[in-house]
Amino acid sequence: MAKIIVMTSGKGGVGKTTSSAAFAVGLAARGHRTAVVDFDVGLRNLDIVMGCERRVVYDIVNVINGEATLRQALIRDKRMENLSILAASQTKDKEALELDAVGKLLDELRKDFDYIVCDSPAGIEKGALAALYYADEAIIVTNPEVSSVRDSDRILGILSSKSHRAEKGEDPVKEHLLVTRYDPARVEQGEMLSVEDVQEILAIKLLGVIPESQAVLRASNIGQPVILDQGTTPAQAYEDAVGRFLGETIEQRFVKAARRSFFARLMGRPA
Amino acid sequence: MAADPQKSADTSEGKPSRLTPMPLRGASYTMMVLRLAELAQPDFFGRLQVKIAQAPSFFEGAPMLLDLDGTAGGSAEDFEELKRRLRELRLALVGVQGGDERQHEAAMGVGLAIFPSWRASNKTTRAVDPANQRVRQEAPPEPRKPLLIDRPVRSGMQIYAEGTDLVVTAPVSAGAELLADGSIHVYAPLRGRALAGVSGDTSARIFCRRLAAELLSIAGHHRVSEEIAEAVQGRSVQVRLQGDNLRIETID
Repeated sequence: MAKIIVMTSGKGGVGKTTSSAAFAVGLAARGHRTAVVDFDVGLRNLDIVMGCERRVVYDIVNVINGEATLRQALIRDKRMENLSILAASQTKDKEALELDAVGKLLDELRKDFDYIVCDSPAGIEKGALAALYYADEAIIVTNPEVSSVRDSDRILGILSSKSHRAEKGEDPVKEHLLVTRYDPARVEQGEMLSVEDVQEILAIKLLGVIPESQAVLRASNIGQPVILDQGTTPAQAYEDAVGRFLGETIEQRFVKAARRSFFARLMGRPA
Repeated sequence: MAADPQKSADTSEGKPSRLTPMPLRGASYTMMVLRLAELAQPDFFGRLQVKIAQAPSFFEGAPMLLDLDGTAGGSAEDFEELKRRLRELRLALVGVQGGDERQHEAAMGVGLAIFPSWRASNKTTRAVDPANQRVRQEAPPEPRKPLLIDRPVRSGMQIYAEGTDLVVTAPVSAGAELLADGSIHVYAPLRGRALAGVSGDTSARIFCRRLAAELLSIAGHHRVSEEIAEAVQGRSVQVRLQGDNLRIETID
C-alpha cells in the first residue's frame, strides 16, 4: 500500500523543500518507486532544487483542472528512473487545490508509486491543508528556534484535528520530527534551542537532526538534492533519517559539537 | 414554574394541539418548612414576626410548607386560619408535609399541596409508590464526568470543559487554551493558557505537573506569565483564588 508523506512546518524557510527532495531521492535510491509533489502553487521551487525546472511542461494545477493527464505532468528524474516529480504552478494560486481533486490525484499516484512525498507550502491555509490532508505520515521540519517550534506545534494540532485520518476517526497521522539547520556549537553557547528542548516541547519522535551546512545552499543552486552530495554532513544526516523512517535503527549523529582539531582552531577553520 | 407563553397559547383555546406536548417541566426549589408542633409554644406568631423583621426581604412573599409531624387533628377551617395568619406576615403557605391522611384531606380541602416528608421517606416508614421507587433505582443521579484529554493540546487549539472539570494527561503547548467551568488538571507541562471557573466559580482550581503557563485565570482573576513568580516556574503547582488574589503554591 502506497504511503503519503507530508513534509510540513508551518513556518517558511526552515527546509521543507530541501528535505522533500532529499527524502524523495533517499527513498528512490533504496529502490522504492517515489513521487515528490510540490504543493507550493504560486511559489514553486521544488523543480529547481530537483534540477528539472527546464523540463516542466504541465503542473499539478493542470492535472487537477483536467488540462493534462498525470502521466503527461510527471517529470522522470534523470538520475533515478523510479523517481518522478510533479511540479507546482507558478502562475496559478493555491485556491485551485480543492481537497476532493487533490484526493483523486493522490489516489491515482498511489497506483504507480510506493511513496508520495508532498512538499507543503508554509502557512496553515489552503495549500498547506491540501498537502497534509491525506497524509499517512508527517515529517515536521523544525529549526531550533522558538517561533519555528511554535509553528510546528500548530501544524501538529491541525494534523490531529483536520486531516482526513482525524476527520474519519482512523489511526492518527504518524508524526516524525526533523530538526534542520542545527548548529551544536551555537546550542552549547545557548544561542539555539537544543534537540532535547525541541523534542520536549513538541513531544513527538525524533527522526533526525540535519546540521547547518554550506552544502545545502550549494546543492540548491546547482539543482542537485543535497543527499547526493556524498560525504557532506547533511547528506549523511538525510541518509540516516531516511533509514530510520524505513524502520532501521541508526544512532543520532550531528547532535554534539565536534571537537575542532588543534590545527583547525589555529587556522580558524570550522570543524 | 412559568410555562412558555408560546407553547401555552396552543392550549388556551381549549383545543389542545396533538403535536405540541404539554408544556410541563420539572423544577426543584428550596422552601422553608414551618414546624407546626412549635405552635404549642406561647406567642408563636409574635416570635415568627420578630424573626421575619430581622430579614424582611428574605421572607417577603416566601413560599412555605407546614410540617405536621408531631401534631394531630386539624380541620379545613384550622388550615384556612393558618393560611390567613401567615399571609398577614406576607408568607405564602403552599402545602403541608408529614401528618396523617385526615390532615392531608383537610389541607387539600383548602387548596394546599401534600409534599412527601423527606424525613419519613428517609426512614422508609411511609409507603412509597413502588413504581416510583423502581424509577429511582434505575436512574441514580449521575455525577458530572470531567472532560478527559489524552493527546497533546497544540498551539491554536482550544478546549472548553462546559459545566465540569478538565483533565489533560498530555502536554499543553504555548498558544493553546484550556477553559473549564470547573477546575483544570494537567498531568504534564502546562505552557499555554489555563482559565478555570470561567462561569464565575471562585472555588475552581488549577493543578499542573510543570508550570510554564502563558496565563492563569480563576473566575476572571488572571495572571500572565510575567507576573508569575520565578520560584514556582517549572514546578508542580496548585493555583487557587484567595479573595481577589491568585495564590500559586508548589505541591511537590
